[in-house]
Amino acid sequence: MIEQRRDESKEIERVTREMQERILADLRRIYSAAVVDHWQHPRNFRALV
Amino acid sequence: MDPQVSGEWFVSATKYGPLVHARLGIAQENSGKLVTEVRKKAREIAETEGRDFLIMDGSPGIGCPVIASLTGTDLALVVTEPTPSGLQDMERIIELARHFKIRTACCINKFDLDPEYAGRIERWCGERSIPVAGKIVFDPAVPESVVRRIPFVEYVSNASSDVIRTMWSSLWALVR
Repeated sequence: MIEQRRDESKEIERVTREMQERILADLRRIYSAAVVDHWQHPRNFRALV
Repeated sequence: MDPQVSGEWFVSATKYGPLVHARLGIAQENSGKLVTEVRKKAREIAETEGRDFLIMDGSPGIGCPVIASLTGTDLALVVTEPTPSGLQDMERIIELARHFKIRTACCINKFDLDPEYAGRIERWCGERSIPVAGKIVFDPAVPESVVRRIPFVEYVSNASSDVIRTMWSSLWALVR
């Protein structure tokens, strides 16, 4: 049972990773490298002083 | 339907003049009614104090709060970014402004993230006689100024703040 759940969890992770890669590939076709980089690594937030 | 309180509006004194603003309740959506209420109060104060103009920070999108922000204004500055979604949103808001016969100008924020696409936006505006009032590069000093609660043009004096100052002069010339 535990083994089966572990396999399911790995499968979900794999599918999620593949989906993210597909989304990113789509984004790279539409948006510039800089825009995608800003989306992945947002620069416009800080902690309030 | 019973009336619900979705937010509260305030009047604050700033060194630049009075500021009328509102705070929505938790999970409450903005409404045209709230925007209209804030505008009504702002106009009332401006008239009483003999102010020359009102500046409104419009809501994003093209929904009811945006229509409430736009109606009766002399000029709408559409701030966009150099991306397909930026251009698409700008097209929709300009179409909406045209419907209400409101003049528009454009500002391309973070244009350096995709100068080629920024050029496409400029051409789109040029073909429709929409002035591009300014193009601003991505500047980390902007979020820094926000967290320090200092207006950007007071926080730094650099190329970006110069663009904003120039943009203000161009916009002022358009509405005068």
